[in-house]
Amino acid sequence: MVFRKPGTLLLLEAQILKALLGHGERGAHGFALAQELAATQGSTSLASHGTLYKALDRLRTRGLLVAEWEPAELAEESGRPRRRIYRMTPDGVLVLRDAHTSHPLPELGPALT
Amino acid sequence: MSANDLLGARIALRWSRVITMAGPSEACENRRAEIASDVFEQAVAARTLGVSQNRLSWSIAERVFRGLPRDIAWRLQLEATPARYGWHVRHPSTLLTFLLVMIMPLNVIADSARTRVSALFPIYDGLWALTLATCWLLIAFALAAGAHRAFASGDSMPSPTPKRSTRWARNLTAVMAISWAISAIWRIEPHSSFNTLSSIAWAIFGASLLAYLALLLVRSVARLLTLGR
Repeated sequence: MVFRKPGTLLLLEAQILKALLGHGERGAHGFALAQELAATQGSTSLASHGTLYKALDRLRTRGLLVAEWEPAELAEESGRPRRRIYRMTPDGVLVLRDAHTSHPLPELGPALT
Repeated sequence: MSANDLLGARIALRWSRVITMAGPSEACENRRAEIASDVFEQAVAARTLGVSQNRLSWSIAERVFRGLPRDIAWRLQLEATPARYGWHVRHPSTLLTFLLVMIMPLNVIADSARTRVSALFPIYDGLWALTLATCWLLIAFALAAGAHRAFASGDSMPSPTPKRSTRWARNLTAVMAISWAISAIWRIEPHSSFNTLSSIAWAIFGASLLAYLALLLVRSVARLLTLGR
């Protein structure tokens, strides 16, 4: 349970949203996000499963992103398990911009436009 | 060698099954599928980068271990809904098993603090308070589940009847959990008149543990003889 002011974002949540913003409508799956977060932090260590998927679940429950399983045929053709694709919602974009404006986080890089 | 043959991958997949066991179906299925996909994608990325199998295996396992507290918090949050409270009263074995798994190490540490490990003595009161609170919670829950079974007119969401061996395993787990809790609660005063009750409960725990192990053995032998058919 994370206790904090409503509408605020944890650093990890803001980083996830920022990474998703770059993917636009294509969205991204969990492992791709883990890789991007590691690259953003300049770390070789990937986010743990528990941390990453719990944060994604929280953001989805708040309506800041949507999750959709890719079609089974696509995964079968590629010979891999189905990916769950995350996409940002308009609310997610607004909350990320608000968070960046009110409390600029250096870890998030340059201001969002 | 496929990704799922790696020890780290097996740990990740097994843990995802454990943490989602008997949970709300959609959320738990999603979590299991996501972990399977994540492990696969990590293996593909590692192959592309030329990472050794050992390093990949360790990296996957390390991601599992670092995430354990968050996984447990996620599961507890899933369970904290009125609908799930009702489900647990109708199907008490899952929560009883969970509480037993929590109580056993806690109780062993609390016992050590009292008798053997002097370094733990400063937190003796806290450890026993936590042990007793968990034990009472377990007993209260077992009573609620028992009352439901005795007085409820019918199950609003009937579930398929489990196999006889599964029913036995669940009943034995419930007996182990309740007897351990009773034994722990009344062991705290070794010279009180409740000491006999604690000893009886302890004996029941021992007997049900032996019966449970025998059941596991019988199931394994049966599986071996039928070759999983």
